[in-house]
Amino acid sequence: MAKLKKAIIKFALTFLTGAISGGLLAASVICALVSYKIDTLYEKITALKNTISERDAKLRNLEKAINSRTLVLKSIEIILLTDQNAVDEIDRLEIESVVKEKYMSLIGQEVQKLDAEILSIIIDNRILKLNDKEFMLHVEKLVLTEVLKIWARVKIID
Amino acid sequence: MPQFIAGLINNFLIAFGVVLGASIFAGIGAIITDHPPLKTMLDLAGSIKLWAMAVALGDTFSSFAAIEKGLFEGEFRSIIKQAVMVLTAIFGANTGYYFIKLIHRCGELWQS
Repeated sequence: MAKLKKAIIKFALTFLTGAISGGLLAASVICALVSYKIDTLYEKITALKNTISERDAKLRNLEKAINSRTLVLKSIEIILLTDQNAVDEIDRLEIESVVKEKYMSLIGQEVQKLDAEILSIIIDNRILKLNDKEFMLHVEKLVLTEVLKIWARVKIID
Repeated sequence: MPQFIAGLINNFLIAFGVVLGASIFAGIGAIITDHPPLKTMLDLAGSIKLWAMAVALGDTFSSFAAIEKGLFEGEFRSIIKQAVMVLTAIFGANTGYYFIKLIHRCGELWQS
C-alpha cells in the first residue's frame, strides 16, 4: 500500500511539473507568435479612438459655428517628424492625440482671429510624459488655413 | 574545457536568458493586463540590458576585487579577464534584445 502511495505521489508530482513546464513554454511561444498581431490591433484601436474623439469635438465646434459665413477652422493635422524607429507607432499615436487635444477647442473659430505664432507656442519646446517616457516637441512649420497643419519634431529625452 | 571559457559561455547565456525570459514573461503579463505585448517586450528588453549584465556577472564584489588586484598588484591579466567577462555579458544581453527585435521584424514581414 505504501509502495502504491509513493508511486502515485511520484507520478502526480512529475505530471504537475510537466504540466506547469508545458504551460509556461506554450504561453511563451504563443506570446512570441501573436504579440505583433496584438500590437497592430492595439495601434488600430488607438487610432480609431483618436478619430472618434476628434470627430466628436469637430462636430461639437462646427455645430456652434454653423451660421457664421466667415472662414472657420475645420480640422487639425499634426505631422510628427521622428528619426527612424526612434518612436514606436503607439507612442506616435498617443502624442498625436495629446497634441490634437490641445488645439481641439479652436475648431469652429474664425481663422482670421487666430494668431499663428501663439498657436505654435502651445506645443513648441513642450515636454510630454507618456508611458514613463519623455518626449520633447519642436514646431518646425505651421500652416493656418481651414485646416491647421503643424509639423513637429519629436525627440526622446533620456 | 578551461574554466575561463566555461565562464564566458555561462555569462553570455545568463545575460541572454535574463533579457529573453524577462521580456517574454513581461509580454504574457502585458496580454493579461491589457497592454500591447510586443511594445512592452521591446521597452523592457531595452531597459533591462544593464541589469542582465549585472546578473550575469553575479558576484560583482569578486570582480571589483580582481580589478583592484590587477591595478594595485600589477596583475593585468585578471583585469583583462574581467573586461572580457563584462564584454561577453554585454554581448549576451544585446543578443537577447536583438532577438526580441527580430520577433518584431518577423511580424512585420508576415503582416505585409
